[in-house]
Amino acid sequence: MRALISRLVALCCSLALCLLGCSAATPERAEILHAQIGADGARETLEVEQHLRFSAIMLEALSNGIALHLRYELDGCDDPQAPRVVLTYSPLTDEYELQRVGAGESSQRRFARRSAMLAALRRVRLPVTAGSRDCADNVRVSFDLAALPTPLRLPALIDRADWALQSAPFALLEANTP
Amino acid sequence: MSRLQPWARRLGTASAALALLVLLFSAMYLAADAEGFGNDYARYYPMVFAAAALALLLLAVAIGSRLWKLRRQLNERTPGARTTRRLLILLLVLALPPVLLTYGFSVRFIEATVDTWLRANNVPALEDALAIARQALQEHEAQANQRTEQVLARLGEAPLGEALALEDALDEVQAAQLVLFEADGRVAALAASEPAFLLPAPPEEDALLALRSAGRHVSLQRLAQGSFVRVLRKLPRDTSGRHVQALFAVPVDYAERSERIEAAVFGTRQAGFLRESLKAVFVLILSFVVLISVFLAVLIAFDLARRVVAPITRLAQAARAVGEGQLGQELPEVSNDELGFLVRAFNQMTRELQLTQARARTSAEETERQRAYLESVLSRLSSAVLVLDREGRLRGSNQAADDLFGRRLADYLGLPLAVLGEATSLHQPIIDCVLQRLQDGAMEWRQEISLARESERQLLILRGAGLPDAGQAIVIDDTTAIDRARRDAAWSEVARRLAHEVKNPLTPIQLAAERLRRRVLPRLQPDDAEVLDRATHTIVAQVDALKTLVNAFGEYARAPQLELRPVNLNALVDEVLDLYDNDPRLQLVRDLQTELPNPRADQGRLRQVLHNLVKNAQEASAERNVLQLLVRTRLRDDAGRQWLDLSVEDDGPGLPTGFDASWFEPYRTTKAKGTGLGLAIVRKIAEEHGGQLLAENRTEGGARFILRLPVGLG
Repeated sequence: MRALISRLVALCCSLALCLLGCSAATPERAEILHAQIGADGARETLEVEQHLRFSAIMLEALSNGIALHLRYELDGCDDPQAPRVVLTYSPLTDEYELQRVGAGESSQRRFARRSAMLAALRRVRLPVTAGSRDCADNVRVSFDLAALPTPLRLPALIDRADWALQSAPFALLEANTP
Repeated sequence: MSRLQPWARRLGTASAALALLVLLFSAMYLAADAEGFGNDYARYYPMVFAAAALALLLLAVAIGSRLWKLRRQLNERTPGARTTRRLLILLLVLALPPVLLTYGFSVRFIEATVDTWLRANNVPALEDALAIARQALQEHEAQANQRTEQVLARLGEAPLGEALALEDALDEVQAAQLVLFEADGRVAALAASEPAFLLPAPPEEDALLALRSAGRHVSLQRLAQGSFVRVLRKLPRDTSGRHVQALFAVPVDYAERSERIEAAVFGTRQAGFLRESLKAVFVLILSFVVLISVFLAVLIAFDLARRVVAPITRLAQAARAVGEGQLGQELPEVSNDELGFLVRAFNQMTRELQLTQARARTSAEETERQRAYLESVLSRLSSAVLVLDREGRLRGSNQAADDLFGRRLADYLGLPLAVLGEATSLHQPIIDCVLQRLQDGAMEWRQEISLARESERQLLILRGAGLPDAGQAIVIDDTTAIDRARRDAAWSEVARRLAHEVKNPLTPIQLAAERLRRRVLPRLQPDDAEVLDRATHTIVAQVDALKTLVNAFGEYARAPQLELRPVNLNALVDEVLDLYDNDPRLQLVRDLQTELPNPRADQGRLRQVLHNLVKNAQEASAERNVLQLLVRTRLRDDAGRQWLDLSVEDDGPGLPTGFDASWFEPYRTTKAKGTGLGLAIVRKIAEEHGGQLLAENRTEGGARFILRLPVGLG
């Protein structure tokens, strides 16, 4: 009981601090190395080369069936269907799935090993809403706490060391830039 | 800090209520969402927590400010503060223990319930089920792989008829779809068991990569038509890179069961992973609710204490104001309970007090008017008035009393009357008389006493009356003048009767005696003639003496009929004294002040005064051969009023022993000869002119009589 109370007190105290700093970037854990919006006919895709380092508890959550959502926010575009990457694990097939969602489309890639999926995550191509190339200036990637199950949201909100993953804004390159 | 303004109080209440509502809704939201694994409003989570934290902070600030205010009121000993503290403690003692007990048990209950709810003892069974499902899947995959090898074998046997071979193989291996892809991904041949499979889905790059590296790739595919095992195989002995994709339907019951097992394992793993977080969230929500309860209890305790104490505080403040004399205190009668009854009683009391105070003020004003009136009457009263208390201490006096005692009696207020007696021995008889009467306890008394003053005896009438407080009011009347006037009137009446009754027979007696002498005396023998001569002579002489006496009485009794006109006093003195210049028995000395004002007086009467005074001096010193007589005129200023003094001094034997004012009364004389009316007439004339007659002994011997006349008297 005492431990629980002290934990609650710590929780309440850190809540205020967290609320103040939950939107701060964590460049040591998320960094966009290269990003551009390319056109494939009428279809536009966001190509991102990134360096993401998931915490152990994130990976544990993934192994326990909790989907991890990564949001890619394009500054300057008011797009309700922001591109996302959803990482899931299937215990029956013992496979990891990387789902790319955006502009109403969705595609999956399956991996027998988690490391393969994370390696594939280094470079992703996500469909975006047409016209995003014109409106977007910067892009940032962040771990979506709101997509976590409710009981996990508050601890995740408070425990930034384990659950904060947000890159600094990266200026989008022109499509023809090498 | 002064009292809070109403708008500030209302703002504080509104803030607290708002905070409470936010906190309540936040807690309800969290509680409703706690067991959910996702929702559409998840992005508002931080804001919900922030709002809840802010609400708690506001409530804490509201409570803190009330506690601070209460502490200040306690330090300032504000009425009602201690009662508020007592009530607050009492209410919190009543409210907090159940809340905290409930909290403790609830936390324990949450711990136990969540553990029970997410019991982990079924995890191994689910894992076993999952393993079995995997084995079954692997068997399906192995069968699919084996059947695909049959397809590859049939394709190898019919290199020119691949499409037909696929069609044949489809039925043989009971596949849902068989597709032969070129190396570049184009479809070389296709066989489908249903139209839905006529549109082939090319394998992903990852699958192709696995195919190239391992020569085959088997995976489970969940499509709209159901679950399928997909097998990718290279064509044997084909170097062009062509490959076959075969889809084999997984039995429906297996698919459904395996999905359920997977979902159960998923749920169990998630629950196990989320158990602690779930507990923390539940406890946090409970803590929010408990904090709401505690803060609410504190605020309600404050409000209850305020509601209970406020009327008492107002009553105490009003009572204090009433105690300080501010009777216009009207408290609002807001309740109908005992406090309301008390407030109504207090208001009635203040109204009664106001009425009583108004009446008392009116009475005091009336008393003050009466006192001023009485004081005015007393100050103008010719009678001296003394007011004594039951112990004989002087409580009051008037101006006439000051004049009587010759001192300011206000200086003796509160002192025993004996002290006044010690200060003025002349008035000791008055003091003794009053003290004696006080000692006797007489309620009504009257006594006449006389005081021996220098010039005359002063006759006083003392009247005493008991006062309600056992004191005495003493009224002292100086009847000296009245008494003298009464005696003067009596003497005037005697003189008038003498003049009337005695003077009339005197002339016939004298005429008869002279006729007897004229007619009988010549006829008598010498001896008889001598006797008759002496007898008639005596009769005539005595009748003359009687006439003189009667005339004097007549003069004394004569009604004053003055002919007033300005008189040159020095000239009048010279004129009268000139008549005595040739008298060998008198040695006259004049000491007349020049430039005297001319008083309005009856010249004849003043002349008579001077004659009487000279004659009185001569008769008083009859045995002296030569009498020195000094006549002096002086202008005298006495307290701003001017008087003219005409004094006649002699060097004779002086005034008789015990000489006082009574010697100016008729028939008081030490002389063998004389009527005894001389000085009485002089005094009467002096008083008729508004002046007075004074007598005193000279230090060098002899007597001095002074006629003092007012200057300017009409």
